[in-house]
Amino acid sequence: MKAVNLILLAEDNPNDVELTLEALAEYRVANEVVVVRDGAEALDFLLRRGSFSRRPEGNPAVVLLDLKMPKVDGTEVLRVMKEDPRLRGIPVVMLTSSREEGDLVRSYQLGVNAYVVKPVAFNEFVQAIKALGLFWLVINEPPPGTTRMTA
Amino acid sequence: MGVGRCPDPCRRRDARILNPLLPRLDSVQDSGRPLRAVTRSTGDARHAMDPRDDRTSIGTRSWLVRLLFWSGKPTRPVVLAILLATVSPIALMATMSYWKTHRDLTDLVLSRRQALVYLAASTLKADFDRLKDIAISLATRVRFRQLIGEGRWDEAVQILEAVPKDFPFIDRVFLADPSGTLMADSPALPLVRGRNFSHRDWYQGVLRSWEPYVSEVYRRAAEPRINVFAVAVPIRSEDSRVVGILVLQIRVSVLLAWTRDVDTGPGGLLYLVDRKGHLAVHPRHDPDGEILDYSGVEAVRKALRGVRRIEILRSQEDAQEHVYSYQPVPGYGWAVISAQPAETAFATRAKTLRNMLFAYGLLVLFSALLAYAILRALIEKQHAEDHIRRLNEELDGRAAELDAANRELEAFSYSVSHDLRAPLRYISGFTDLLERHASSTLDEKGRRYLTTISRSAKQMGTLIDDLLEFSRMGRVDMQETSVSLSHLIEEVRAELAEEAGGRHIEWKIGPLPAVRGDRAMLRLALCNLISNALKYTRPKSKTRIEIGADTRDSEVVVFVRDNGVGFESEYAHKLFGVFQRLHRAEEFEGTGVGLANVRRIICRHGGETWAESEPGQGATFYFSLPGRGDVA
Repeated sequence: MKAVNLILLAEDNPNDVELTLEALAEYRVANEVVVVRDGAEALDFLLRRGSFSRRPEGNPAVVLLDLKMPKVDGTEVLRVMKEDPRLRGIPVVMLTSSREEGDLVRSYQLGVNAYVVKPVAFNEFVQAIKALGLFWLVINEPPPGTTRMTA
Repeated sequence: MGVGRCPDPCRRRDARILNPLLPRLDSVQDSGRPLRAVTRSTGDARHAMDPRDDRTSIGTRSWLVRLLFWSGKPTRPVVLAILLATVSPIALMATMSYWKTHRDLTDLVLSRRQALVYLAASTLKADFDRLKDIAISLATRVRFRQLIGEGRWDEAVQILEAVPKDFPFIDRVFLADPSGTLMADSPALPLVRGRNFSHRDWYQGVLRSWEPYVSEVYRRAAEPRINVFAVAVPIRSEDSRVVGILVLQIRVSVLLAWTRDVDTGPGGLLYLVDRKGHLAVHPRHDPDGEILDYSGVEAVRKALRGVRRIEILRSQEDAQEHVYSYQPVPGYGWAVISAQPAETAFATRAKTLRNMLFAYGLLVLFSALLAYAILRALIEKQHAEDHIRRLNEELDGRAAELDAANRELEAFSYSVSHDLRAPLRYISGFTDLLERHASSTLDEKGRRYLTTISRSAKQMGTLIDDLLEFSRMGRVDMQETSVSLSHLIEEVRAELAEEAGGRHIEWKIGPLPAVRGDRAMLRLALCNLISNALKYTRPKSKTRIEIGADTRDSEVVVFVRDNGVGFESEYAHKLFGVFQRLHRAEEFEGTGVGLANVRRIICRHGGETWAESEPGQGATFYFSLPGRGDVA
């Protein structure tokens, strides 16, 4: 029996979604990845409301947040999550194209757990996702209440 | 030698997760700073005047300046009024002092003249008293009186023979009977004995109450007919009956001798008048000439009335103003008059006052000039301050524009950073995926195309990163501290060890001082220079890199020397420009931003960069930092 982790990927660009999923697939960790296309959907999923009101209970093992998203952006999702006692414990990794320090600083001030600037080269990106998965999904012990599905 | 890219440690972050436990604190500080930094992007501009300095000086300016500028620009009347207010107390003081001196000097002159006349009058009185005493003592001799009483005039006069000898100022002595007939004289002169002189003043005078009497001036009857005056005393018998008159005749020239000793001052003169106002003695008049009537002269008239005074009157002679001082001779009805032309009398006063006037005039003039100069200086200063304020306002305006431009630039670089990189990643990512999925179906050419696309995308990513770094170096606030160059170089060397890739490198690092500057920036600059040195020595079998510093009075010059491929010195000026490269990318990789960054960093520290080289001879890169380097 192997623990299967739930990953929430909030990313508006389908190319990025595809590349990220590809990289995760490359790692071949048995995960379930839920993809949401903007910050509002991400919050709906996390708070089990809207179209996700009927999803089973349990938090993802890690949330991969894109910084720039329509409607509600990554920092806003992060802020809401860190203010909510139910969601505060979920590790959040910012995945972004931006090297801008303002974003970096703001994210850390809001309590982000990791901040990853997506490398241009795909193999480097794969390496980054690999390291991410290894750390957050295998090495890291998630807080109680994290969904651990069995495969 | 060309321009190379420095592998900035920050960039390595790209490929790894930034652990929250290792936040980049320096970045946190950087981004929190205001954007004003842009206005001081060059070394000199940092010292530009702060508008607040100006405000401070306005706050403390003097009341005078506030008065000057109370209604905006100082108008001519305001300046004049202030000048007047400044100068008038001095002028007033000078005027008062002038008039006091004038009065004092006038008093001095007048009192001197008064004293002079007083002295002359007193002397004359004493002389008259003496003559009277002599006459009385002669007339009261017992034997003499007896002889007169008995009518023995010749015998009596013999007793008196010695008198003119004993008293040289007495010219002649004669005796008259109570009716005024001359009975005897000594020395005896012809044609007068027996003549009656009752018409003479001396007789009229003594007859009045039979008291001693000093006569007026007259021309005597006897030859030589000279001008004389007489002292007449009655001769009484034992029973007090008047039996005769003793007369002492004195030449008026004697009086001249007596009064000559009185110093009348330059141009001044002193004269005597008898009780009728006839001139007795006048220094400019022949004592034996015609007797002049001076009773019409105002001073004489007043003096004879017993008035004693000093005044300035117009002379009848020359119609000029004279200082007249006059005084009666008490008890004798005569008067002493002194006159001096006013001009001469007050010559000293005039001279003193003239000098004083000149001095005060100069004083007033100089104080006016000084006040004017101070006013001008204040006005100039104010104008300069106004000018500076205007400049500062303009500068503030420009700073605001720059701020706005800077914000725009930031937004631009943000979108470059974010939006431009994303498609690049897709190109790179999907090229890689394509390579994996379809490499087997592609021929050699197709695979090369894919590699080229992938490499180009990567290169563009690097280029964007370098550009962003370059832009950041111009924007972030500098955190100035004391930076040890030796430590910095050790750090950079350790960091670049990987790049050196096991090559044998001969390092020669001289003593390096500590300098003031931004550590992270200086580190990047050194990193770029050393990285370049490593890169361009790669073709050489033996690599030598020398780093040293020359500490001068006002700056520290640091150099990084290598024995690499070098460059042609005619292109030296191009080295530090953005995207300027002297080598092809196939020879040496790089984007052409590294040295531009070095220049920007050094420039922001107020220093300069330059380089020297010959192709194949290695290159030396220099930068200077202002300030005295401390020993590390």
